[in-house]
Amino acid sequence: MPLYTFELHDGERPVGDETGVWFADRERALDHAYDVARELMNAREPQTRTWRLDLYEDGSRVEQIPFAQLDPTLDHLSPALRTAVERGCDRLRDFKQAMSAAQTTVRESRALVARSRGRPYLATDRGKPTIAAPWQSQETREKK
Amino acid sequence: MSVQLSDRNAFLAELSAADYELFRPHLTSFTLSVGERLQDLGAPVEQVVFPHGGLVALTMPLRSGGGGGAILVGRDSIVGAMGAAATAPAMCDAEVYIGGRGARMSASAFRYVLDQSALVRRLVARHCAALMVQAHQTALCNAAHPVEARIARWLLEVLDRSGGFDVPLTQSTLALMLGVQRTTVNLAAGRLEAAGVVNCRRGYMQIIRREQLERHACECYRNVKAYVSHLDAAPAAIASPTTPAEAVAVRKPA
Repeated sequence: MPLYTFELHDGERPVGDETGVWFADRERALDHAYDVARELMNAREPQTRTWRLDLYEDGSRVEQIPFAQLDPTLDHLSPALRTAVERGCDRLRDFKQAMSAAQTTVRESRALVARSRGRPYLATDRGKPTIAAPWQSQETREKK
Repeated sequence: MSVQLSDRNAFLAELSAADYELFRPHLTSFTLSVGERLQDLGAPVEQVVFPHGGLVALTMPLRSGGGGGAILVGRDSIVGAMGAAATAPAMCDAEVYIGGRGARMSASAFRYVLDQSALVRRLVARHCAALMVQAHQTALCNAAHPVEARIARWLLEVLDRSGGFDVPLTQSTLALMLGVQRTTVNLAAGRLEAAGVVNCRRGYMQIIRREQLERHACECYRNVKAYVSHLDAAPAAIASPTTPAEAVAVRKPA
């Protein structure tokens, strides 16, 4: 039975569920992922419309679920308009994610420069070290 | 073994010495073990439990195996009081989520004590009112608020009852309390962790910034707290009307 894990993309750093769930087949895992997406979206559909949930099977991504596809508040739109909204949500999420990554890099660069000059620097941001350990890859840093 | 005067939950601590003497011979001290079931939905209520610590969750089960809609009872309240007083079957399941000490007495002894003192009846009614307001607020909360706000609310509710900054609940337990998938709790708690509010560890959650957690929580936390504070501020020992005429006068002030 494969292990299915999940990763939430909300425009900031991706959040992963590393514990995962064992399912007999991908179809059941997908049903579970849809339930999770609906639960995360519940009572705040407009705010979470840009989010996406990725499904991983034994560590390999097998499905991406954009929340806009499940958003019941968009059901009244014509198919063409809905597709346009979904595409817009994808772009907005990618843009937010790029902005967030750029801000992280700027913060880390400032901290590195300040530290090299022996000046005070921001050591942690929201509980996470501003300067990532040198042995951490970019991918690991993003997951953290 | 009877409990010591100093070893009491909030309800027992509120009692006058005379009223406590009514309870004392019937109370037995015991350990609340994690996973222990104190009552099952529909079964007769045989005991009333006064937790001195720990946490008991009152939940409604589903046939499919899940459930949800938890009311939390810590040292602030009583388990089984309503069912015992009304000689009614249990209205929900009661399971120990965080271990501790407690005192218990049989439902029949509890009814006997209620018959002896009007003040005890009023205090029990107040504690039941506090549980009812939690139930009403939770029903609204489950329908109207996003999962992160609900997680933040429950963490605060648990913290208020257990103290400290660590919440010794697994994410599976939180998922059961909220009636959602464990994956949903993991991801939502991961967002709170990314915001620097909590630290998710195996088997427990550590609260880093309580004021931030309060900002993430929905209004339900403050509403329940405000109601209970209001209840605590009002005196319980108001003289009861002694004649039917007085009772009418109380109902319809001139």
